[in-house]
Amino acid sequence: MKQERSHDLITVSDRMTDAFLQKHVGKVMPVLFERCVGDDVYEGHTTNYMKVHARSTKDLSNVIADTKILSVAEEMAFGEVEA
Amino acid sequence: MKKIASYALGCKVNQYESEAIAELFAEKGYEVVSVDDAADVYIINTCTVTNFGDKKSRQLIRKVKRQNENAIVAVVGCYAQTAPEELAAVHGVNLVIGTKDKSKIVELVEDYQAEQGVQNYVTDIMHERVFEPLEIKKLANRTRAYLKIQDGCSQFCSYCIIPYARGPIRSRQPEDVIAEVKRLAENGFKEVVLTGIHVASYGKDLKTITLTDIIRQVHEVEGIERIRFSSIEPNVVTEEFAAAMAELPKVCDHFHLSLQSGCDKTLKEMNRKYDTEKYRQAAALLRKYLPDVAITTDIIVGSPGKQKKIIRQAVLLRKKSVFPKSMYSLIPLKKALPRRQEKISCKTL
Repeated sequence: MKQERSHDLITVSDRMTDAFLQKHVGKVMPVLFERCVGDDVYEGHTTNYMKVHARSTKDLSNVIADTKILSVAEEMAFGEVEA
Repeated sequence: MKKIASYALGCKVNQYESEAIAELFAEKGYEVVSVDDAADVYIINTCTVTNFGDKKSRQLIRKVKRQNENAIVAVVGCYAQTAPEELAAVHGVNLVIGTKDKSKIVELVEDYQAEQGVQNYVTDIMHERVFEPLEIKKLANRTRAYLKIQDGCSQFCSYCIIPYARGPIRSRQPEDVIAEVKRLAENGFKEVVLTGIHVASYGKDLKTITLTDIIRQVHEVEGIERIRFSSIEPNVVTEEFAAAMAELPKVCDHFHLSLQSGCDKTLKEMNRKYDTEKYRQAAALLRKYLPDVAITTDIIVGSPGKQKKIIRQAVLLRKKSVFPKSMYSLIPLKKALPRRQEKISCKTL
């Protein structure tokens, strides 16, 4: 019973997370980049706590940069830092 | 040089305290090492919010003792506070300290003599009135800093052991909070997360300041560009609060509002101090003032007597409140609770 309830909520939650992320595709949002996670990819968060990955040859660690959200997948967003 | 490892299980408050404890030892000339390395002293900051927290705490004690049979192992934190005898009986434990006197920990460890056997320093926490100062001074340059501004909880939700582990609400003095935020800014931090055991009650004991006031003061600190805070409750979110947050551009549009149940009867049984209507209003207010706001939540799914219908109500409420980004794990909550309930909690991120 508990597993079933939990499963129900997780399903709803996943759907809502996806819908929330999708809503932001195309928007330019300030992202505080925290660290490089490999191959010039930096990871950071928006103010509303969306996890964002963006490619950059410049070191973005501890930098807030306007980032255009291009796509979302697996509870996170992928973006491009605005020039 | 003696080596010390300070490790936290559980919440951000524990993590903050463990970092502060490591600094206290470093100031006395200890070398701070990882909990996976051989050390002379291990300080394990335990968690007891679930039975799983207890188990992990015990496992870690055994693991560190295997790394160095002669190490002094001190257990602090919520599990130590609520079950000192149980922990004293775990092989490897030398000192049991609890949730207070953490600031005296170096002294207690250095005074320890092996022939004394296990030393239990846990005393009553339920009459503590003053926030025990613990601070983090030297910080590696990182991005987001957690800052403990409050301790204790006086809510007594029926399923939760924490009021007994942490004692009554105690707020950190605003000038101490601001001094630490300034230090964080000087160290290059751009984001602070104000944490506490029940951060919503910040200032209620001091009577001269509120949560909104301290957020405003933190907002004034140059160099800090983002402010978040740990879980708050629907009752905090009044029109005035939502409007105030929207006027402070550094306050992030992400709030963790614990729901726990979507059924008014269950909320009452849980001794939560709001109903589902109040929750809806809080979510609506946040969205009115912060259109892009992310609201995350916790829901306990294993409360006894709950029917499937009741969970459906929670799901419906979630849909209406539009929660994004949730991460769930199954957490069997404590056996040793006031109501002795067997539960599983759905935890969101």
